[in-house]
Parts: sequence; structure tokens; C-alpha cells
Amino acid sequence: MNELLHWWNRKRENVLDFAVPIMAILTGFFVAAILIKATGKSPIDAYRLLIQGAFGRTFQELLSLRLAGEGLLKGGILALTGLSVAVAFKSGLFNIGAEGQFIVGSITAAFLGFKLHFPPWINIPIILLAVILTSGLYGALAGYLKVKKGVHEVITTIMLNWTAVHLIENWIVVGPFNILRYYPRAIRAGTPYVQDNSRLFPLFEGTRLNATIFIAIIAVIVVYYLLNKTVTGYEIQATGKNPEAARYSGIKTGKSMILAMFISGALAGLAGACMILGTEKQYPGVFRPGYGFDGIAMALIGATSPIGTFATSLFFGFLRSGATSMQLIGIHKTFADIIQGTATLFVASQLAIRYLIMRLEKRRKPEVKEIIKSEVPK
Amino acid sequence: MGRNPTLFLTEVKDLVNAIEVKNITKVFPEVVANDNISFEIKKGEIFAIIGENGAGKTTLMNILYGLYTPDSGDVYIGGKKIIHNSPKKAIDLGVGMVHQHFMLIPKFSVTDNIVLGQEFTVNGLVLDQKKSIQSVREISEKYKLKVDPEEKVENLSVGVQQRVEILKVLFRGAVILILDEPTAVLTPQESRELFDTIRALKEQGKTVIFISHKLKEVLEIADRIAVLKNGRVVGIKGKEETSEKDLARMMVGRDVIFESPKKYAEPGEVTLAVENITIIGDKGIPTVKNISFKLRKSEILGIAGIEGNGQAELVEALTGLRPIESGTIKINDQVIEEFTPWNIRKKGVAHIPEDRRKRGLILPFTVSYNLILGRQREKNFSRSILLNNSGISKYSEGKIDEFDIRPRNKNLKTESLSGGNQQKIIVAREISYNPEILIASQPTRGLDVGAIEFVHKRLVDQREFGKAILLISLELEEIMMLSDRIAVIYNGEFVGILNRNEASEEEIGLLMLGAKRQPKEEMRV
Repeated sequence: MNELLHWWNRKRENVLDFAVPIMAILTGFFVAAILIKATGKSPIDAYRLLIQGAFGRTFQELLSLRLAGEGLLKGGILALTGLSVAVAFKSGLFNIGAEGQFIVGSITAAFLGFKLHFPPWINIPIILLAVILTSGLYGALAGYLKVKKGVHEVITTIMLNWTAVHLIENWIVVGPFNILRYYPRAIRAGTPYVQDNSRLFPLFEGTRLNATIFIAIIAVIVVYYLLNKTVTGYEIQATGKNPEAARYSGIKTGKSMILAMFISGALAGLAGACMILGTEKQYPGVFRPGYGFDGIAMALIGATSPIGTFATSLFFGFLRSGATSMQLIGIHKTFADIIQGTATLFVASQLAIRYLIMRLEKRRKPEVKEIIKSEVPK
Repeated sequence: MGRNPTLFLTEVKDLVNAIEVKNITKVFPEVVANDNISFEIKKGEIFAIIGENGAGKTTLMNILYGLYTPDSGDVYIGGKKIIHNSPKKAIDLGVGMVHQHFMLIPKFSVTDNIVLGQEFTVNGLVLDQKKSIQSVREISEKYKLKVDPEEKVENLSVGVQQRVEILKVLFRGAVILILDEPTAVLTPQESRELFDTIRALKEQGKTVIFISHKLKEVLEIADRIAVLKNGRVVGIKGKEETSEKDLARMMVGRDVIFESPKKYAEPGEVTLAVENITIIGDKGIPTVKNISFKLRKSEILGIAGIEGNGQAELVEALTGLRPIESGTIKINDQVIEEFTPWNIRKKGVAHIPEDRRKRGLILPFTVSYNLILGRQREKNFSRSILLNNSGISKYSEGKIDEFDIRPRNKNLKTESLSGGNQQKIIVAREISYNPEILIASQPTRGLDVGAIEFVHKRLVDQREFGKAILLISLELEEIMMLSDRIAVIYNGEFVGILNRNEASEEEIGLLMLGAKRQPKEEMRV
């Protein structure tokens, strides 16, 4: 008991860092349960179906990845957009433009995936590099406007989202790069299908799980390393935590911000590329899956740390793939969004939560202090 | 005891304590902030509490004011034991606190600020402005604290804002006033006025608790002085039975040297030459007008002046944060064209910024990361693109020892260190940068005697090593103690540049106030 209290005193901050997102998610489930109840359904059934839908009914089914693969796939995409938002946060910027950068990456992948005919091990890396470049530059544009012109990044990234949507969906996809230009008798809307050499194929029979999850894991590791082990990461974090002091110390804060926005854009673009090369195979007529915006929630719930964001993304990946099964008893799958929304709201109000925890702690203070006091060196 | 019973009774009545603190202990995760503290404060007494940064003064005051609950020990206010204290309860019991950073709403009038939360109303609905203003006027006359009740707070000087804070507390019926480092933000003249106010309050029977780390002040104003060190009371002394040296020894735990630590060195060649620069301030009007001076090696040039006379803008220009309108700045005979912090740093200029929290440190970073801030690309701290964490650790451990940064833990977040230790990080970093020119802006603001002595010694050491130092300070004493030459800035102009040995405190005071001006040809440019 004694030791436990000491540990708590030392690690309180760290524990809270961990406890807040978990409590947030639990609150999300709780609120959604009330709503499910209100629609006359049983929350327990709903959540049982949710878990079964996410992982499978049996251990064999779990191992077969038939259902779990879907969660990993969605989780991978969410992790990439989540990291995108998190990296921007680290430099002190709020990138709401992950959605725009996502579709810029998507169209790049759709175009090169169709045009390039090298073997897969050349084709795919080239496409991904090109996506990093185009989406990265698209993100960096917002950073540039912030640094050089002083325009707030929230404004520019929202505007760039719409710029991307209109340029891509109302021009490129219906105009110069429409499927009908290449296959006049095609019946689908959107762009031509990518070459097989460009596809990220499912890794296991009977699943849709592809290399996306590995790309996401590599991205997590790279971002973690970049932020914590490199000079650039040091400068980005210094800029994010105190731009004035960073600038005063001689760090080129503008450069750090633009670079962070480049990385942010590139990560969102990779998510788009993974979807196009993996599951979509083309840029569809209308393609706004909202993963860019979901990235904001992932980064916030994951406390903007690469690993936290990744864990959160996997969790919501499973939640979403499982939520489809809730439809069996007539609950709409968007109930997963309610959980996500509530959790985000909870995290956004975490200062209040931390305060509450501190208050609770204070109430049972007497025992704590006695023990600590006796240990104080005189 | 053979005493006259009536006399005994009056004595008891007079001796009733305003505040009694018994065996207070407060523990935070990393430190014991208050360790078994006990004392009494008599009614109508001016009681000073001094101690180094991090000695536990603020924690103690927050306990008295009900912001913290002590882990053990009791607080008696007016003889009553306080069980669950809260600021509201403290106010009800007549305890008022004037914080170091004012809690005023700039856009509101003096009256609105004072009556805030206790407004007079007509029928409980409509604000009764007249009555509010009238009562503010009355209370201001009663305590001889002159304010214009209808003026907006944002138009007031810092000294007058503090007066408003005190009135606010008195308006709420305070009989015990806690003043947390009240002179930290005041000019010498304003401090003197504050002391008059405090004496007037004492005459009216109020009890004043005065927190400070300036020994001279405390000896001037307080009846009794308690010295805190490492969370413990190391002594409580009456004003007459102690001295500056004695208090300093109690505070720091050793003898402190108040004399200038310097020897005179022969200034060398010019490293920084400023010629006729004019700088536009935030409001779009020139705040520095046509200033010229030269800074030589092995020299400390002090810039004296009252706050807001252009010092801040001058420093910002010299460190690359603000462009100059006209004129030239030369470093080692090279004219500076690109006014950015990195370019100027590259030329060998280091600076200790005035506002350490805003410009000097990245508070959420660890101590070791702050010790290398701005130098992260140097060979010792990075290998190509990677940070060299073992190099950084070794370096920081060395600096933590050398500069006595406490606690000795390079991995602590900087925000958890006391102000003095945070300042030591900056001083350590900037001096270790080995600059040719060191610009030190208010390097000891808010520090205690021990830390001030330390910083002064380091600055003088740098001069002995042949560095050129520009010292900007609002503390005339500091300027007089350290400088070889003294420039006085008034209203954006240098109104005098004197050699230290030709300058007297009175003369510099007159120059600072703009009452006198040295002829151009006599200035020691």
C-alpha cells in the first residue's frame, strides 16, 4: 500500500495521461449505450455483436483475420491520418486539412497507379514517393502561407480542403482523367483502374487486409524517431511548445512549421494512396470517406503522441468494422461515430477531468500525507 | 505572578494574534515545500517573510489564503482554528491577498474592478454606479490611497494598479493583508509610496504580511522578519536585532558578498558599434531615437532607465527580433543586414532575455534540452540528423554541477524548477555558448540574493575573459555595481553616457527622470 502511494505520487501525471483517453472511450461507450437503449434496443446485445463483428465469434475466426483484418485495415488508414494531425500539432499547428491532403494523395496514386508499368517492387515505391511529394507540398502550402503571410492555418487548411475537392472531383476525375477517356464503354464513374502492378493485394486469403497496416506501423516508427531522436524533431517540438523562445534561440521556426506541415500532408496522402491502391483500385466519382477529419479525433484522443495515436486508431478501426454487425439488430453503424465523438469531446475537456481526479484525491488525502510525511528525510 | 491583574488583561488583549501557524507541513510530489512551520503574527504588525526562490514562501501564503490545504498542522486566524480553508473563507475572516501579478480587468474602471462581485444595486437589479463610486472614493480617502475611481485600469501605471488591488482587498473588509512580492514590479519611487501606504495601514490597525526577497526593503518596512529556507523557518528576528548581512546568511546559509565582485579590466577593441539607430515600436511611433554607442571587449556597458523608455525595443533590435528603421549596427566591423535571431547569434552574440518564461526557455522541455536550446546542431549534441543524447546528457550534467542548478536532475521538466534555477539554466546556456558579445537584459529580475550574487559573478567573469557585455537593468544598484560605463536612456534617447567612476547615483537618477541631459560632446560614446 505504502509503495503504491509512492508510485502514484511519482507517476501521477503519466498515469493520468494514460487514464484520460481510456476514460474518454468508456464514456463514449456509456453515452452510446444510453442512446441505444433509447431506441429500444439492448446495449448489451449491441456491444456483443460489436465485439463479435470486430474480431470474430471464435478463436479460429480471429486467427483467420477475416473480420479482424478489416479492423486492422481501417486502423492503419486512421493511424496515418491521425499521425498527420499529430505531427502538425507538435509544431503548434492545427491541421484541419488532412482530408484535402488525403484526396490529393489519392488522386496521385490513382494516376500513377494507372500510368506506370514497372514491376510492383518499383511501381509501388515510386507511387508512394510521389504521393509523399504531392500531398506533402499541399500540406506545406498551408504552412508557407502561415509563416510568410500570417494566415491562420485553420483557415487555409479548410479552404485547401475545398480547393482539392473541387479541383479533383469536379475537374480531374470528371474531365481529363475520367475513365471514359480511356475506356469509352465503361459503366463506372471515376478514374481508370490502377494496374495490377500498383495494387496492394490482400495478404491473406479471404481478407481485405493489405500492406496498409505495415505502412502505418513504419510511419509510426519513423514519426516517433523523427520527433524524439532527431535534431529536426527537437526543433519542431521547440517550435510547437514555445515559438517565441525557439525563434529567439536561433531556430528557424518558420522552416520547422513548413516542414512539419509537409510531413503532416505526406502522411495524410499516404493514407489516401493506401486506400486507392488497396481497396478502391480507382479514384471513385465521389470519394470523401472522412478519414482526414477522423485523424483529428485520433490525434486528440491519442494525446498527439505517435504511439497513443496508433493505439487509438487501431481501437477505432476495430470499433468501426465491428459496428457494421450491430446492424443485425437494427442499430445503425454510425453509432461508432457517436462513441468517437463523445470520446473526443471528453478528451477536449480533459482539464476538467484532471481537476476532478485531483479533487477526488484530495478528499482521501489524510492517509496519503501521513505515510509520505514519515518518509521525508529531515 | 504578582502582576497587576488589569495590566495583565490589557496585555492579553493587545497580544491577540492575527494569525497563528502551527506545525504546517505541505508535501508536493518532488519536494517538501513547507516543513513543520510555526509562527505567530501579532495584530497590527508588519511581518515580513523572506527566503530564496523555492524556499516555500508562496506555498505558505497559499495555505494562509486557503488555496492549498496543508498536509498537517493548523492555522488560526483571529484566534479561530481554520479547518477547511478556502479563499472565500479566508476573505470572510478578513484575509486579503494582493498577488504579484495583478488580477484586474484592464478595460474596466477602477470602481468596477474594486466592487466586482459586491456591486451596489438599486432594488437588487440595476447597478448603482453613483454609490459604488462614492464608496470607492471614501475608502480611498480613508486609507490615503489616491486613485481616480472613474479612470480605466489600463490607463494606470503599475504602481497605481497595485493601489487598486490593495483597495479591492480593503473594500472586502480585509484586516490582514498579504502582499506577495509587491515591489517586484515597482520603480524605486513607487516602492517608497507603497511603503507609506503600508505604514498608513498599520496605523489603521491592519496587519500586513509582506513577502519579499529584497533584504533592504524588508529591513526598512517590517517589524519582524521570518526567514524561510528549504521549507523551514530558520529564524524570526525583530528589525532592530538583525542586519542585511545577517539575514542574507540565514537565507543562503553562508556569507553573501554585497560589494561589487569586479576588478577593473582594460577595455579592448570595439566589437559592437551602434550608429544612429532609430526603431519603431509596437504603436508605430519611434521608441528608440538616434542612439549611438560602442561596446568594447572586456567591458560592461550598463543601460539604466525607467521601464518603457525604449530599452526593450533596443534589445529586440540588437538580438534580431525587431528591424531597425535607420542607422547601422556593426559587429566586429561587419554591418548587420539580416535582422534575424539566427543570423545575429551566428555572429557571436548571446543573450539572456528579459522574460525567461516567454523567450528564454521551452518550459515543457527537460532541463538538458533547454541547456542546449539553439545549439542542437552543434557537433557535440548531434550526429548528422540524430540528436546525440549521451553527449547532451554528459554536457548537461556538467553544466548542472557548474551552475548549481537544483534539483540536480537533468530529466526534470523545466517548468517544475523555481524561477532562480530556471534563470541559471539560461545563464549557463548563454555563457557556455562562449559568445563575443553577451546581452543581458534584466538578468536578475525576480531572483533572490544568492542567485543574484551568482549571476553577477558570472557576468563579471565573462568580462575578465575579454567578453563585451551589454547590461540592461531597471535596478540602478545593479548597474552601478557592475558597469564600467553607464548609458542612461530616457524617452528613447541616450541622455548621458558616463564612466562608472565619474557617475554618482543622484546624477544618474536625474538623467533617468529626464531632469538633466548631458551635452553630446561629453558623452563617453
